[in-house]
Amino acid sequence: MTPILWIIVALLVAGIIIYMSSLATRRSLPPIELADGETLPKTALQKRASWAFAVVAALTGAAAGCVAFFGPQVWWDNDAVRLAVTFLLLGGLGVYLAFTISIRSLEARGEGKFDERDSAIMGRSCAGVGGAMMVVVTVWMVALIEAHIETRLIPSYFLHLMFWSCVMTNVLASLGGILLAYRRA
Amino acid sequence: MPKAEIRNNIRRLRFEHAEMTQQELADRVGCTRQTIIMLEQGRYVPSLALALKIGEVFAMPVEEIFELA
Repeated sequence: MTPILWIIVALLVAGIIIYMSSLATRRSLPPIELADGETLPKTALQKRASWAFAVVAALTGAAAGCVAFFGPQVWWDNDAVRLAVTFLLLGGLGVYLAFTISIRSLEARGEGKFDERDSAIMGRSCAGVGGAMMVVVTVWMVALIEAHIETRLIPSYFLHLMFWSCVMTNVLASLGGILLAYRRA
Repeated sequence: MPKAEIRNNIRRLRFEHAEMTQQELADRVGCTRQTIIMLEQGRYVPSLALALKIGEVFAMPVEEIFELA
C-alpha cells in the first residue's frame, strides 16, 4: 500500500474513532426536550462549518484521489496533474478562508447570530487538531520508512505531500472540531 | 473544583411575560435560539453578561432567575 493510501486509511480510522467517542459523550448527556416534530435549530456557525467541511473534504478527497490514482511520481512529473491537485488544495484553503472571514464578520456585526456559546465552541474546536496532526505525521513516517527501507532514499516529492496533508488535516480537523463540539455541548 | 450545576426559571418567566418565544428572548439578549434552548435545559451556563441581560429583559435580579442546584 502506498503512503498516500496509508494516510487516507489512517484518517478514516481516526475519524471513525472520534465520531464513536462523540456518540458516547452524547449518550451521557441529558436528552434535549423539544416540542413534537421540532428539531434543534442550527446556529449560523454550525451551518457554515457544515458547508465548509463538506466542500473542503470533497476538494481534499479529490486531490488525494488524484495523487493516489496517478501515483506520486506522475503527480510530480506531470504539470497538468500537479497543477490540478494544487488548485484543488488551494480551493480548499480558499473555502476555509471565506468561512473564517464570514464568521468574523458575523461576530463583528453583533446581531446575535454568533454568541458567547459559539465563541466557546470555536475555542474548543481546536482541541483535536494536535492529535490529528500527530496521526498524520506518524503514519507518514512509518509508511515512508517501511516503503523505502531497502534503498534508504525517500523521494523529495513526499515532502510536498507531507506538507499538504498536514495543512489540509489542520483545516479539516478545525472544521470537524466545531461540528463535534456542538454534539458534545 | 467540581463544576457547579445551575438551575434557572427562564422557561417559566418567558410564559409569564406574555408567552415570549425563545427566538424573541434570543433576539432581545443578543444570542442564538439554540443557546436559549440549552440554557433552559440546564446544558449551558451563561456568562455574567448574558445572565444580566436576561435579568434586564425580565426586570428581575439575576439571583431570582438563576440558582445553584
